[in-house]
Amino acid sequence: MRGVGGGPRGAVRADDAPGAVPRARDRRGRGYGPAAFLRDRAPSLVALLASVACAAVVMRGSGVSGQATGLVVCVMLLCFALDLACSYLPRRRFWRQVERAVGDPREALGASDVVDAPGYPEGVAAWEALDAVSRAGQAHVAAARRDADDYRSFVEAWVHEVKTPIAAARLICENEPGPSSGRLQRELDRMDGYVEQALYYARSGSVSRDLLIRRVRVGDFVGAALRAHKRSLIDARVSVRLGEGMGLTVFADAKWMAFVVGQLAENAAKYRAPGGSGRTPELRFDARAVDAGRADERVELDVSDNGMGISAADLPRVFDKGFVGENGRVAGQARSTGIGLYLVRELCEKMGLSVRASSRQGEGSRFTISFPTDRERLGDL
Amino acid sequence: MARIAFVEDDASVREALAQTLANNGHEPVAVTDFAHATDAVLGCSPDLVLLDLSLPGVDGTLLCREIRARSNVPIIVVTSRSGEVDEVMSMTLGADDFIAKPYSVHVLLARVEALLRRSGVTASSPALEHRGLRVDAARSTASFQGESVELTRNELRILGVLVGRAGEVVSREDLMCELWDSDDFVDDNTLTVNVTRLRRKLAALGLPDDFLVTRRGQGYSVR
Repeated sequence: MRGVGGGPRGAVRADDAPGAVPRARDRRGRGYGPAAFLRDRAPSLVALLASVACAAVVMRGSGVSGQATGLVVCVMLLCFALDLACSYLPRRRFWRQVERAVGDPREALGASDVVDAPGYPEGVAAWEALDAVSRAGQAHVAAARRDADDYRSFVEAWVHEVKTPIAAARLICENEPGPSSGRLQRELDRMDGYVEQALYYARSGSVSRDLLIRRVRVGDFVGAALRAHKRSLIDARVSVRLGEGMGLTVFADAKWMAFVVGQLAENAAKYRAPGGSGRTPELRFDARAVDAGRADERVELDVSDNGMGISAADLPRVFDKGFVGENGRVAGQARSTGIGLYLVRELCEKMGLSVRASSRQGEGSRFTISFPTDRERLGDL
Repeated sequence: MARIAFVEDDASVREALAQTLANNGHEPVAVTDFAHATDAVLGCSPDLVLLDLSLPGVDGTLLCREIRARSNVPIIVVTSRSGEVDEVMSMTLGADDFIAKPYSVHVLLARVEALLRRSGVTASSPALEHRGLRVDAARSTASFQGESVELTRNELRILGVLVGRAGEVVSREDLMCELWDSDDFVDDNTLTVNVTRLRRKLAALGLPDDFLVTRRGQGYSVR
């Protein structure tokens, strides 16, 4: 699989995604049933049957009547059967519970909480082992989660801290305009862009306190995004066309949307048509109401460019984390991190929006964000 | 000239901000006594307050409420927490406006001017003058030797930047950034058209042809 289509990063994802679940299912295939139980008891069963046969032979030899021997044999067999049933049923109950509990890999670590401790010695030992594994696993998960949370809050705090020196540097540049400070400001913008990505990456992983869904004008967050990325767009000579529907309102977080649109704008500047193509780079914004009056009524915002486009092979994976497509590797100057579009999708999902991409290689690409107009659906967020 | 008190804990930002405000015709007063910030701010009777919410050892939100409780002075909250939630929250504190770090100077100054205008303080940004040409931002006109001509918003901004940085070559990119800051996302061609029109208007005022020159591949310059 590795090295056929994408780079190593793409392959990592393809490798680990399907891994965990089917393996758990394989294990469940050979469940605990009567056959397994009897197979386990086979030697003692053989011994028992032999002893019954032996007793019957001895009884008949000592002149006991056929009827009496038959009765004794039947009683003995019944007792053995009863004993087998008594030992099988609690075992089956226990193992069925265990199988159910560990069937779902996400719940497996809580297994000892939902499985009753059985009343026979091997069961108790097994349950105690299960419990120990569960506790240890839970402790590890809790510690890892704590670490992740700590790290996330550290990143957020760090981002807020680092913005102060960036602000100072920007003020200093603007107090002394000139060619060098213009160049420095470009670098500060890039720095700020990466810092913002780090901030939103940290936020996208958790249920964010910072998310505030309100009614916002499309034109407002598009404008904010364009202002924030003006240096890259102007330097790339991108013509911006604000089309229809900039006055429409949608339910979203204005700041998050400005970030999302900013990522798309930044890509349009980075993956613009190559100089020799004779096309002026263009970035268009069009919004419209779709399916008005129907249950899935929504507003769709198209962000389209006439740039390099995305190959059909890369298109389905552009939103994957760490995915660096053909464009990301050839675009040259700034290396692609494969995080921008991933964050676009993550943040859109957090806001209850959907995003899709379409493209023709060599002609341009279009990203469509769809905002449900139905207020009810906001309740689920 | 407006007196602007600003509460900011970072020394570099404080210094740069003071210079920015002074460069643009305001009187900056830095407040560094955070423990008694309310008294310090109100003590200098400012026309406007720029308040950083994250201060060492002091709750900026409390400070904002205190200032608001004792005075109607316009307050702009400046913070590195850039979320929508933070913006809404600062409005409930009684602040009049909110700017997230790192802000652009243009945006900051535009908000300051707008708020000063709203609160009745005449924000008399010094009228720009160069070789007898006077650019009046408030009335959006340019005048030369008694003659005066009206400028469009874009022309005014372009001329403002060029006259403000007279003698320097201002790149086309810088001019476009300036226009983009006021939500006018002009492209290269539009800028050329705007500059051509502006040049025609200046010629009509009787300014010499070499007043606004094109530096090929570099930008424009007012001599």
